[in-house]
Amino acid sequence: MKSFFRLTSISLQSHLYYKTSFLLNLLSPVVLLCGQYMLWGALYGQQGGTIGSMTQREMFTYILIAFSLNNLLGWSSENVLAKEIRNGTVVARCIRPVPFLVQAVSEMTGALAFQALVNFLVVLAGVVFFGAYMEIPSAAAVAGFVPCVILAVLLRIMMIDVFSLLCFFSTGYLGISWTRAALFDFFSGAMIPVAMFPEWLGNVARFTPFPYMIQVPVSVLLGDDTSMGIVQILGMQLVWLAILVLLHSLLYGCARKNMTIAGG
Amino acid sequence: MIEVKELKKVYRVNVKKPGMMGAVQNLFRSEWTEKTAIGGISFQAHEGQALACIGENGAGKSTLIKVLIGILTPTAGEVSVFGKDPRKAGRPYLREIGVVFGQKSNLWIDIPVIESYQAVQTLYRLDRQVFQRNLEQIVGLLELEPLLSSPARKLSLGQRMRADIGMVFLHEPKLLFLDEPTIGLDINVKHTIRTFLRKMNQEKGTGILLTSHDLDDIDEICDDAVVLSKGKLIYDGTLDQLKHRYVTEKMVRVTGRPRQEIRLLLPGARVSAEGRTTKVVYQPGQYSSEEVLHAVTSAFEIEDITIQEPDIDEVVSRIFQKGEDA
Repeated sequence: MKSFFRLTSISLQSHLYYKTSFLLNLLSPVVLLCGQYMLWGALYGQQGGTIGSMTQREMFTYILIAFSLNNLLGWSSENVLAKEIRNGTVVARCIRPVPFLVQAVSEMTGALAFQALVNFLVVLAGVVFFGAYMEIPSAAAVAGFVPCVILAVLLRIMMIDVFSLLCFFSTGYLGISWTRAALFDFFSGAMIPVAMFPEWLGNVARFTPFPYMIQVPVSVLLGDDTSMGIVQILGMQLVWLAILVLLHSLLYGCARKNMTIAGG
Repeated sequence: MIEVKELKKVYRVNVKKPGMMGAVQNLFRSEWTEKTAIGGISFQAHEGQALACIGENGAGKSTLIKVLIGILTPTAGEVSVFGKDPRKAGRPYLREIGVVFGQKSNLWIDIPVIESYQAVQTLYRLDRQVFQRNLEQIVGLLELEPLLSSPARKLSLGQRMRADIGMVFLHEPKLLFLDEPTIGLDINVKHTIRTFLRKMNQEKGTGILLTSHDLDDIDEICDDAVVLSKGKLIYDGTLDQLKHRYVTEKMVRVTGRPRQEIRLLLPGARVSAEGRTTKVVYQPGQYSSEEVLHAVTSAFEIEDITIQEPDIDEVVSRIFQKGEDA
């Protein structure tokens, strides 16, 4: 664990090193959040009542929490490992006496740690200033949400790790990263709640790990009917986590077997 | 310490045809070819040995190092370091070795150097006293004190390489792999690094496997060498033997006023003069050293004289010339 915390601390410091970029990454998504509020506000303003099964108050809470979970990791911090694989500097990770998976998880944990604190403050400010227009969750819902969101973040980290490992088998890391980002943004509920998908598409989404990264935790917080109890949800998250860890082992093992490191 | 038997490493390389048609074809059908980086080599190195791996670009030197540290899988053959297969020995093995790639830093580039060093203490589970002792030693020998608080990103290439080499000694590796550690560095930094590595080899018994295109590195750090050419091992022995095998001529360089024509005294030697300095190159089988010295002292009022051993640059140049001629 000491190694994990040391590497997490290094990653956090590395991300804080680029002050301007860090501050812009921190604050620029808030503009997108305001945009989403205006968009959904306009849609509800025309129709009133509910869209799908969500009231306007629920939607505003959904947007705030989904935004806070979505922007925990930015494009640059998600692609650190992919870039290292692409340019060969990944060799430094391979020769450290620490499991590759621990290095990947600690790297991303460090990258999101400070953002998580800022997002918590953004959510707090949102509740204080706009609480009157939002659905405020019960204490019991928050208690269920906390373990669910921890597993959601771990799932997201593992998903990024597995997609990054695919870069060992292809020279174009950008294509892989864009595919991952597109699948995640669409199926996780980060852009539109999965509940608003057509039934067949919703069913497809439910057979992927993506909704368990944003949609499901927010539904737990809002007390929505997810057709599963909290224990089942946590169980499914653990199952997906185990699958992704297994995929990591398979891909990393295969990569090590066939690895080519260019140049001297 | 290192035992390599019939090691072979073949890469599978995607071949793309040139032009637009080639690019489109490659989208639907990939063609592959095999490139042999190492073609069945065998050698051994004992504990504490400073071994150079010499070869032209693409000879397989870096691939050999990557196989020995366990990040590349051999296509065929056996590799054993400290009696273990590097691929399977895992983290305990990684704690016993150190690796420096001249073109890739092991430091975390955005944090101060001292923090990278402290991370090594944690990752390698070093005792605080051992870490402190090693830190003080490398900081002193490599003059790292002014660099410790700077992020590696802000260091010059020479400073960064000193910091990188210092870092690798913090966990007291028994064997060090160095892949072109002085590439692009100025002469002063090269000297500091060579002196440091030699000291660590001689005083701490750290084994070294070094690849470098700078043959002065090899001459100053190593006693023995293996020579690779196009993936094949063409020499395995001491550096001295290597020099004498490939360069049979000896050279005497004399500065002083000529008294008589040296060409008449040594008609079989090649003589060239530049200013007051004359170079006499001869085959040892042709003249004995005594005969040459007698001739030189007769022919010049000697101010300065040096008898030069074959130069490693010349040795390597001849090896690869022979390789190309073959």
